[in-house]
Amino acid sequence: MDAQTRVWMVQGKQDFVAKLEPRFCGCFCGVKEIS
Amino acid sequence: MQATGRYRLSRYVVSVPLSDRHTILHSTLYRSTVVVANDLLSEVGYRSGSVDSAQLAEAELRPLIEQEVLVSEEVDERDRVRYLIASTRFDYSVMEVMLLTTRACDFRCTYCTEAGRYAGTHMDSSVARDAVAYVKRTCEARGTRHLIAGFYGGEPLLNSPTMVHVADALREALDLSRIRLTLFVISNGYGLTETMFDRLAAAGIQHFQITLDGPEEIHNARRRLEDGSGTWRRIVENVIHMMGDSRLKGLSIRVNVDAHNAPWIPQLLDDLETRGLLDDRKRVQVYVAPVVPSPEPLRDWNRYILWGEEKARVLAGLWQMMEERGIPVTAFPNVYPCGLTVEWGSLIDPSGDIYACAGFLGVPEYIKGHLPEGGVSPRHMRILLEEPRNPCLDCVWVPICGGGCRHVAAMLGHPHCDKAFYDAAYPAFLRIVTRQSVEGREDLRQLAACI
Repeated sequence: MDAQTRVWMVQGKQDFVAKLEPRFCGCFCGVKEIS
Repeated sequence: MQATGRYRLSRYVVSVPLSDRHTILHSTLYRSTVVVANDLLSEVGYRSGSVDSAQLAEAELRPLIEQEVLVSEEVDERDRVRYLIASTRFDYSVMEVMLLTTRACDFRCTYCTEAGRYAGTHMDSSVARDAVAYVKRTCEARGTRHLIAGFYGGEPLLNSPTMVHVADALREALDLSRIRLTLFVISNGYGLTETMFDRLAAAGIQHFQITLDGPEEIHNARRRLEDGSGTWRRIVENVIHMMGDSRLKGLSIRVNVDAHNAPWIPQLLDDLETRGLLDDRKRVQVYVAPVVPSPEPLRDWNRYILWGEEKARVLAGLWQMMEERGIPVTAFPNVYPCGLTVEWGSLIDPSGDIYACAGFLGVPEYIKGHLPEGGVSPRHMRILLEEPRNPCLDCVWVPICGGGCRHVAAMLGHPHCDKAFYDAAYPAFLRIVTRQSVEGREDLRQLAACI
């Protein structure tokens, strides 16, 4: 990236299914980051 | 291809100041995060709601379009939310099932959502067999590629032989398939002794969630045994043992937060750090979760529940403290998707009844099916097919909240909108997660240097 960069991609978009993994609601279960 | 035409900022994008010169643009619909320089935002006049692509260089415009931060003015984004919800509802590519090996519990936590509905029943071998057969049949019929099977209760370790039996049976059932299997346990941590861990790890159960609600005295006031004894020391001893075992793949230390313990959480973090329990950032995470209302709280505990902006203020403060200590902030307490809004997330209780949400365990009208056949009750079908109400479809938070938590709505007797919480908490969460993501990323060194 050069000094003129004004847009940085931090997290690319996730497809509808992939973004649901890990899933289930965080209120009751909350186990995350299963890999 | 050249991006041309008029674009607007997606209605599902949150804009959060990161520094004096930078802004985070995050799509709640696609979970993408882009950081942009403020001068770029001023140039395109994005606050007016419309962006002329001719004003942006291709290299700057393209990532914003690709990440769905800018969308063509021709797109009806409500359709995209409807599509997300519809396409997710029956997508069994990842199936999640919680097996309740028992409804008994050795704890009497003050805020337990199962309070008043405890039962001594353990899952017997016949139900366990039916459960494994049902899960296998469903995975095969629905094309599941990843089965996530959890053990829950009550306290699941009180019936650990069934856990081991089910884990072995699931591994055997999926052995020749291409279905990936992850096994995990949600436990109070009290019974996770060295011997117990050894038994579970040998059965392939290597992901765990345990709960610590504060330093010893505070934790013990909330999470005690039935006879009133404290539980903190033994849980911490168990965690120390587990962390010394290379078979442990993941440990989530859950902290249930309400007005009673919030001021003491920093002391818990210090305590865990001093003992070296947070050193292993790859395997151990801390998850702060707001306590939800209980149908039968002990000592009128619902009075401590945090709501709205106050809940946001407390959680944001805790995330901040975690960041200062270098502890990754990994999870926001989302309520979508949940078992009531998708078909592929279920709980099976010891009698073979199938539920969609742990908050409704023991409530007959929320039983969605029964083993061995499974099935979907008419009531569950109706809930499953509900779409967010009209005002919700336009809300930036709907891809995360799914229209609100049904358990909370049932406790309150009316639908509950948590927008005040999301408005204040999510930007704080995003700022921290973005800072932590940028740290150490070679491709973002320039950005890291100026935020």
